[in-house]
Amino acid sequence: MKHVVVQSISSIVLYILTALSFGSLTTGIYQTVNHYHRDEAFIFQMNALPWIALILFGISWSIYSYKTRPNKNLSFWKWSVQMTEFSEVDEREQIITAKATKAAYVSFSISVPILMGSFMFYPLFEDALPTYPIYALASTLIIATFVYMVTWIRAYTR
Amino acid sequence: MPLINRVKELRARHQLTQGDLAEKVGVTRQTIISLEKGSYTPSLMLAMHIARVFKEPVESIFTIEEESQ
Repeated sequence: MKHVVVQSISSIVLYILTALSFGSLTTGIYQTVNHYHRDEAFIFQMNALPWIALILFGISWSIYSYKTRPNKNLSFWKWSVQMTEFSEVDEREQIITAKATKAAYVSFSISVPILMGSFMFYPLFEDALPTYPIYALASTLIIATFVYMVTWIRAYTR
Repeated sequence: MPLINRVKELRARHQLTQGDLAEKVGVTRQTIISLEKGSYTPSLMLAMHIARVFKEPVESIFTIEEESQ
């Protein structure tokens, strides 16, 4: 259970850092495009801190996840294309993982239509929050991962 | 119809810990705990592995509650 909790929380942190990184890049592009004048030198600025945090966290998380993988026979390449929060050591864990994945899938069917509706109002606050689509997409993944983790814990401790 | 089992009783009779039994049948200790609590219904394969460890027929270890009454 510890493996699933640690990996789910790590995935959520990774999604947040990815959203912040692309958010900073988008803000940089948005400001450059809106303030660029033909007679001025081209200057592009962005906050690099989220990118540095993402790279550092991504590398350390990958090393830790690979070393603590439940199936030690799995090669690096096979492991790298799997979801690290999956734990299917025996038949009961396989059933729990299937149940938790189903719950996460259902969460998409709720969160995605709500966010689609929120995009109707995006033109009204686009200037104030140009990075909204990035955070909206990240939130669907964060919610689904959180639902997966909670369902897994509840089923495992039954 | 819940499935009831005699795994806890047989495990004690064979002087096996939950960890020992888990290792013999190839599952985690948590699975044996859930099985003994009755909150997990094992697959036919796992039930047969358990029956083989205790050298008893599957139906004498696992019974549907309605049948046992």
